[in-house]
Amino acid sequence: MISNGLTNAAPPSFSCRTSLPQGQVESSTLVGRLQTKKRIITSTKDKFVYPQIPIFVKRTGMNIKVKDNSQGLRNIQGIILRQKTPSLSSARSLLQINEFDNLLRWAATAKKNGKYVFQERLKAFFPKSITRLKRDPILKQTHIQCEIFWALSIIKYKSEHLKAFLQLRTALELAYWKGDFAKCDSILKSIESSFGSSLWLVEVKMAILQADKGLEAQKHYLSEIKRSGVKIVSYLAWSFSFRNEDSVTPTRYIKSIQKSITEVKNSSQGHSILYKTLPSEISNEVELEGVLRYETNASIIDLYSTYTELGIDFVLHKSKNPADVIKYFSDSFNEISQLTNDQRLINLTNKKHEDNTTNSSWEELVQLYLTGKWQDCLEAIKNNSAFIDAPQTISIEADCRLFLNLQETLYESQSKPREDLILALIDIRTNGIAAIKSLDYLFKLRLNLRRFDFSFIIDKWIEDEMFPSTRNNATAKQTAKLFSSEFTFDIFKYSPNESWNPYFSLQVELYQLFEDGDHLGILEKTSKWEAINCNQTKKIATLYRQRSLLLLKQYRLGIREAVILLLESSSLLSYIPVKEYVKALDKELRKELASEISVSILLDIATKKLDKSYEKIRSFAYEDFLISEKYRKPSDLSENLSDYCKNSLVYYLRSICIADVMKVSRVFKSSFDLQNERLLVCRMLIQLDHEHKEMYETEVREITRAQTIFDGVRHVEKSKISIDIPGLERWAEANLKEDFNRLRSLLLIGNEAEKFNKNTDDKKLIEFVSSSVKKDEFFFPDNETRYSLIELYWSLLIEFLYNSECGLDCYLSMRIRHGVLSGQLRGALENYKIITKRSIDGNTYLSNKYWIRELSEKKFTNTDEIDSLLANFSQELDNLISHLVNDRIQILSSEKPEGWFRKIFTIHDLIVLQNIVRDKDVDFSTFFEASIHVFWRGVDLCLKEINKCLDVEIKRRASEIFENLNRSILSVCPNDPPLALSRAITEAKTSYFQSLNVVKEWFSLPSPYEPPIFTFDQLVRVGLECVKKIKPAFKPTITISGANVSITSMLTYFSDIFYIVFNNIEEYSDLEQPRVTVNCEVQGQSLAIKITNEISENAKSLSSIARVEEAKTLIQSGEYHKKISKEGRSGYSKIKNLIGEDNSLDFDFSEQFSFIVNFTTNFIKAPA
Amino acid sequence: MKLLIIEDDENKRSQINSFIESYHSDLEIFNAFSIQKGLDYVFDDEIDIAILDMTLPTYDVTPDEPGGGTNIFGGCDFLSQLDRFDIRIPVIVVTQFEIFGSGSKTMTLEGLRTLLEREYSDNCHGLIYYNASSENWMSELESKLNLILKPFKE
Repeated sequence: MISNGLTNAAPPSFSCRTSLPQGQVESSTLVGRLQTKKRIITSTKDKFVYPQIPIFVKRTGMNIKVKDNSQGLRNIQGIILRQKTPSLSSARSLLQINEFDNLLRWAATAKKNGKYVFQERLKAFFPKSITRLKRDPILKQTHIQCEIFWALSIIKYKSEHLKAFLQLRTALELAYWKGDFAKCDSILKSIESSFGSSLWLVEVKMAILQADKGLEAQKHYLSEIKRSGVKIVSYLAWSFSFRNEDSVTPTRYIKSIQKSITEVKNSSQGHSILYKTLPSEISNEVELEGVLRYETNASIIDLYSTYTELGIDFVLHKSKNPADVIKYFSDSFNEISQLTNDQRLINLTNKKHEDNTTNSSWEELVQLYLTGKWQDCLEAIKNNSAFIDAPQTISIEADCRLFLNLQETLYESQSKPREDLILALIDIRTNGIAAIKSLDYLFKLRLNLRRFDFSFIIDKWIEDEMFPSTRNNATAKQTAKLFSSEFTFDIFKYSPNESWNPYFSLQVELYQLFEDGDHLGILEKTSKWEAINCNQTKKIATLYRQRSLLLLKQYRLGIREAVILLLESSSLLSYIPVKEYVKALDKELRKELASEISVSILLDIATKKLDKSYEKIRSFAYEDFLISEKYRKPSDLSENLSDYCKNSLVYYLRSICIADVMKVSRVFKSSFDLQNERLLVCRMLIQLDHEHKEMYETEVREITRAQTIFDGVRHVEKSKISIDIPGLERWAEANLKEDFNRLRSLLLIGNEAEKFNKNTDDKKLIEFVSSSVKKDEFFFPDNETRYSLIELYWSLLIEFLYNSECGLDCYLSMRIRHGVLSGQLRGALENYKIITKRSIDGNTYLSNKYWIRELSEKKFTNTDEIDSLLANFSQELDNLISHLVNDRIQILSSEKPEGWFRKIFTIHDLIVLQNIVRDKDVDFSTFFEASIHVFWRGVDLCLKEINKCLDVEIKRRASEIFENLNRSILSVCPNDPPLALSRAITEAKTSYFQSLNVVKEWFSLPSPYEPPIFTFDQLVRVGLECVKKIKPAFKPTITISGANVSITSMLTYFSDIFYIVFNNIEEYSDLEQPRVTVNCEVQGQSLAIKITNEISENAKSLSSIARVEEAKTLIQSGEYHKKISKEGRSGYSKIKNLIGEDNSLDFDFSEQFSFIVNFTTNFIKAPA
Repeated sequence: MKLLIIEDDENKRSQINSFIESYHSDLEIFNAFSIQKGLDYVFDDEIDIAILDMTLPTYDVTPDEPGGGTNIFGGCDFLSQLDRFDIRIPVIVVTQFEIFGSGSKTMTLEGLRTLLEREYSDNCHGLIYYNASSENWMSELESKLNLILKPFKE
């Protein structure tokens, strides 16, 4: 166990062996001395002024600004060598930047006392091992121009090596696309042996290991790096490893990196880490300078990668970046590309390749593609090895297979990386932004393979789908060209002809019309959009048609069509200007379009997919539609269902007519009204959308059960302690489910699973996670699984406590702290008029007019003194309330050191959660539920302490305040005490203490914390009620006999079983009011239940006998597991599935006109 | 004239009621404990002025009704409904919160004031901070009420 050396809250098990001064700059005492000297010459007042007059000198074709205090190499050589420890940092700071090339040459041979002085530093360009990588300090801060030219000089100095490296890199990328991982491994070894260690190597190797050998292999590689790398190298390696894990989505990864960056104290280092771990945009010169400076101790490969990638980004995004920096990069790329043959830089700088493609086979392939000869196109790729190996043809192949509806490749030797990418692309092009998994895959590939040139193309594919309206912009085109000038395809450079496939010709024609501003032309051209069968072509038509409708302000038609399209396929979301429509939907337009059901649907989609803040106008649109159609509530629509488009109506009823939206309407007077309306809506949906019948039936059961539970526990809640569990569960699903899944994936690795069971560091890990001391910015855990579990629960706990809408603190604030406690305690005294308010200035308390008048009437002489005592008393009691509110009824933290609510997370809690997580069948919902229990257990401990404190400390303090008042009044008038006032004080004190007792009740666990108890009789009736909610005509006569046991925690289970039983009776008895008897007997730990129902004469038909026999066979064969979700089953499979293998289930017609179901089941008997 | 107090906190409601009764005995006071009940009064009883809490439940809380959840900005929902139906009533918001929400969604009293001025200026005639132990809110409420009532009294 090694401390990181940087934090007080040292993690108990830290990964980095070496603690080196990453980020510390090279010392340069001489520079300090020189600057001191300079200060004498140029300082104004006491502040050193660094002259910033740029002088332009000509150097290799570039204009370079040189600071006038910099010097030539000859002048500084002596100075540098006289330093105790000669420093390259000092030399760089002192030197003119046009001398950097010479400095590097000199540094290679510079000697002092017969020894090379800079050799060790220069060796850092080719670190022999991971230990050596980034071990040296970075160079001292200068300015952007200096950093760019310093990097350029080094690149030129080592250009021969870089040329060789680039050849290997190209070979590596080719081997990867061929799926030849053995060759990849061999090339990586060559790179390592020729150029040493680098983060580039770590990053690429990690991605290839994950693709080839999986998680365990890459984690093993990570552990090797962690053993010997310096802290920053280990941290970056860990982040690459984390990113490559299958269960980590890009969003999760980005969040994790951004969170750790907030801990980094040095902003330049933060930008550097962000740049190395994400494709983050470097938006200004300061950030650019920082990123480059943090490469001054990097390997030559890393320096080169960072420099060229940053430069390309700056050059591609010309409009956003400063012109001088772009020029530095552009000019330098001209130089570098000649020295290294870097194809990207050649493509970027070489203008002659811009407009013509010389490769004739490629041109033939493009023609096949444009004319829609998909099969021929695939053959052409298959028959040309250059095409098969070229990732550029992936997009074409994906399109061809999409149009041919081919899920499988034509070639036997298709490599896995290529095939995976093609399948992802087909999914994305079919399902658009709804293809979340494939988009995540692509985005992760973009991150994991960011060192490959091909990642630029992945960027473009992602952007094409996410932002299709910008797919033809200049940057996108240039990005595509950057990768290859030979195999670049830009459809907009071709003129469509009759032989073209409409998918392509429409793209070009609509684009041209749009560019010409001919929106009416676009509407005419796309007027038959509904008849377009090809999805891809329809997307293009949608893109332009929708934008034109918006620009022409044809909102009614636009929104109507948009909703039809979105309900048909959510993949079109990015092709429709939903946000722009919402922006246009102001109050007036909403009024105008109130009768359009599509407006509420569009707003609902916008609320769910774009911005939650639209929910208010979505709710208004929901009701505006009903009002404009002369309805009061959604269930009124049942009279005229056929008046509306079915798809729209189903969406409206299913997704918008929910309690949370319907509550906007004044028609509903209570939550119960809302639930009942939703039940009616579900009933309509069962008829209207029969395909999803089961989903609505489940909802009906859930609402019925919720109503049953509420009926059972109906009372005025005394506790004011609460959290919004459904709200928190939604938060956790969105924010932590991935972490949970990641933990479960890691537990599948033998080594990690083994570590998970080690609890020796629990106490320290919990302390570390819960410590308020700022974490080490480069912390990552050794025991990832155990640490993940702790972090997972800790994240939940923090949310349980602090979530702004659902957490405990929010409820404490709303229900107690803000006025409520004050009202409760002061209210007790205000009746007796012995407490007054503060004056307007807030400094003094107002005079107690009531008692002054009372006492004056009784001729008391010391009324002023008594008034002052009452004011003092008021202040003391208010201070006590204020102390409780501001200091005690708070969550304990460094700002609230006296807070009553502690963040409790014990080793015992961890073991409980560990056992839950280890269960192979556990899902996130179960883990969340267990976490809620752990949380309430901790809260309960606090509540007990709070009650004790209120009883002892607070009551004692209040008592003192009352006694002081009494004593003081007596001392003012010992011989003639104001008896009425004394009596009022005594009575007020009793009232105050009664109020405190009420306050004590606030601090108790909310009910029903314990699951409610139901009798068997009640459970049967809940099941029946669920059926009656859907089928109100069903009115069986029920007789329940036998043991009416009390059962806990099984409402869902039993109500589901009895729902199925009664639903079967309703469907198959052929009677509206059948007689049903239910008998229950306790048999040890089980219940034996027999249900007999009356049937009509016709019910026992040959077909129904056959159906029953089929159900029996299914259950006997064990096949029922697979059939439970199938439509048309009797439901007995579902019952069997619920009661499990260990219990029996029999059912059949009896000889009389009845049907009998017998089954046994386990049950949880409620405590007596 | 009819004045509606929409306030779910019993003590605060009682304080506001007492204050208005003692200074404006000519006003007929109605009390609602939730957003929906408040809207019912506005629609059904031709309310002239409203005093509105900011954090409110959807429905009046009773043993049969849990309230439909407490909305931190329930007062804004009420004001939005007035605006939606083009109802013009002078509303004074009286809150005992200094901060709304927590974390990144925190809104200060000043932030709320700005929001009310920006979004609901047609109806909202100001925001007052209520503190049970101070009488500042009384003088502020009095001055705002007087401003609103002035045209009716002239």
